[in-house]
Amino acid sequence: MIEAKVVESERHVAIAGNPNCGKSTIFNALTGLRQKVGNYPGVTVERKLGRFFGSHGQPMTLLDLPGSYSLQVRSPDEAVSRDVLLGRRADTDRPDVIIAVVDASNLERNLYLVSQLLDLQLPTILALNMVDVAEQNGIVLDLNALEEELGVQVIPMVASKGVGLVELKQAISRPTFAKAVKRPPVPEAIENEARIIAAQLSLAPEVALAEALLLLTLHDQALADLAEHQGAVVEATLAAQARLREAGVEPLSALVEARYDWIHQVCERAAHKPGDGSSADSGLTISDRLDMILTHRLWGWVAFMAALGLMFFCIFTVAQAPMDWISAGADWLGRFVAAHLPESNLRSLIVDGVIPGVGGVVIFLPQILILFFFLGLLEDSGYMARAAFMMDRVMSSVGLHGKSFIPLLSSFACAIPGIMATRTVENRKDRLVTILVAPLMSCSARLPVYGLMIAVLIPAAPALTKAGIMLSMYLIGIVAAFAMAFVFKKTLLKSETPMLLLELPPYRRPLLRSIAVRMVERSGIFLRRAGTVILALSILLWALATFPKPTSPDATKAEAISQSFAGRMGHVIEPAIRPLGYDWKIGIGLIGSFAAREVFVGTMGIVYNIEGDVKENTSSLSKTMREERRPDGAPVFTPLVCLSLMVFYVLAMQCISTVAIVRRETNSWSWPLFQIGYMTVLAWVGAFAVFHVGHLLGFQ
Amino acid sequence: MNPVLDEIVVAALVLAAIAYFLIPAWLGKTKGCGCGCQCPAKKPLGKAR
Repeated sequence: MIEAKVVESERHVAIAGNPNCGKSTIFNALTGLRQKVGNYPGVTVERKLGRFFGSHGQPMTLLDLPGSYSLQVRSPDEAVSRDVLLGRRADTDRPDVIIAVVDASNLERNLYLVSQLLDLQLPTILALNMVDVAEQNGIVLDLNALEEELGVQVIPMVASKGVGLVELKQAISRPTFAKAVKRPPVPEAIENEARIIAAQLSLAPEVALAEALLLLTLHDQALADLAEHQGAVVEATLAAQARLREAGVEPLSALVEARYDWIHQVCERAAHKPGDGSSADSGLTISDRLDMILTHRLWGWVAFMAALGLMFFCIFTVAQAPMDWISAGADWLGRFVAAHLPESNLRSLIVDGVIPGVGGVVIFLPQILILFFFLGLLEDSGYMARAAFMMDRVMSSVGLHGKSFIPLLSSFACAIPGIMATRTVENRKDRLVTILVAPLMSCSARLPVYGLMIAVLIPAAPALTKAGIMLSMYLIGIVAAFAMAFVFKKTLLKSETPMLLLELPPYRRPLLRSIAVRMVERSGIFLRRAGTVILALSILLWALATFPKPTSPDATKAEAISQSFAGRMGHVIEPAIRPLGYDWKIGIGLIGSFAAREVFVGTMGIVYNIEGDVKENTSSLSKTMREERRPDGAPVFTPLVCLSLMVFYVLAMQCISTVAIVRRETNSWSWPLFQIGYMTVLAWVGAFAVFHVGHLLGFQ
Repeated sequence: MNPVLDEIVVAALVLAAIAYFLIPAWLGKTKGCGCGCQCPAKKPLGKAR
């Protein structure tokens, strides 16, 4: 080994590795709160930079590079990692030391990137993470053999428990380093051509060779698109590729094969499974066995639907009791305030505006908690990645990349993190399509609307039937999202679909504590929202539904609300919504919930509490709505109106926060405006179709 | 309850609700999306790509 002294000034350390190998855990453990999260200029790739002090107090900067499987890049994230490591980025110093983080339970796949990192000839430390998982899988690791094969220091770690961190810190703090001198073997013909190209690059010799090897693997178009190199380098590369092909060597496949041959050789020596004498990656683990069922063409779908069905069943059964308590509490509060405050505007504001408005939304907290409990369970157990894998078959049929499914899945919780998650989608057009369809997935804010309408529609039905209706609303959202994605990919945003590369992490027992923390976080956010945005909207809606007051003191409550600002707005849009079976009071709900869907429930609470006689102590909102009659005596909320309203809310945008985030992510007003437009039209058409097709089929 | 006081209190609450939405917009600040994300200073999908 050659000892190399690393520059005396502040040391730049970069953490590189595959996605999900524990890079960020190590980064967080080393830097604590001394982190700066921003963006690499010009791209939407997160840049995480931190500071820490070595064992002897020397200051260092630590850069958490985006996860990459290889330096032959496939996404903007991987391009950033490659460019930083090769010193191509003017805004980021080339690292002095690399911490190559490797998942010990998946050594073979992780070593591919390591083989390319070794080409860079930079001081490298191998953080062999998750050795506990490897042990559980029966893999016996020979660290000495691994060090010998790779030529770098290997530190076994369990980063999540802090095991190996001290040793890693000591290793980084060393004044001198063993430069990585062992390079994985490369076919001779390729090595010779790479050296010819490297000679033309104005880079340090060792980096130049690594760069030349990467250039040789690029296809013509990628070479033509290169901004970093002059035309002469590109021509030399093309000539070298041509010579290699003439000699019967395909540069990319020959290099990949050579690297994998080397990796097999390393694994043979360094990772064994006792008993079978084979290397670590053969044989079936428990995860593999589970995957044979959960990703099966038939059983996989059965399991997927069963998981969703169970989730919605629990949302209705388990949440019912706490929802009743909250409802009873809100009723009691209303009665209490009504009894203790004299007849006044203030009493009306609290009893008819704030309590039904905020209470009507807060009542759905138990259902939202259960939704997040299940989403957490599915995510932490590793099942979400399988769901994405299952969905990729469907996604690719509409021209979307499997990676788009993760943002769509996140949108079940809220479209905003979903839309932010589209940053992992490399193709710009695919990303736009995903952003455009993400709000069609039923978010948690729709849950109160579905819950209310189902309670109006089938109050006495068994939980299974209610769960079935809710599941079908979610399915309508999914089908609509896919159909619209298909339309956009065929028309506005035509592009080829790249292949899916998705990691299926091993199944893990979910940590209930971490799920509970997230549930508490989410309920805090939900309650904060109820106490701020929804409280303010409830006050405004009450004012709109109360003023101007009728001139005649004998006016009935129905006449009063009809003359109010809200009533007038409802009347204005009534011609547009009458074909859907809605009256002007539902119109008030639609207008009121333009900013946030869940406000529909509160608005209905305000409208019917103000509009009805004083019956806050006798009936719940759903009962009042069920009893609501048109002037001709026919019920307003017929089954078809309820279904049509639910379909409207599945398909309509109705969320001002999502509009703001789409504006920010697309850097334009045209896309969010287009999105509001197409979703409103889609919602109207969907609701119209449900109402009229239902009528034609003889339903009410 | 004194009708004048009643009107003043209700008007103040309604104005506060309006101000809640308008003042941050007037100051050029956003309220945050409320979804709980950290919303770091990320660049949008702009021309730079």
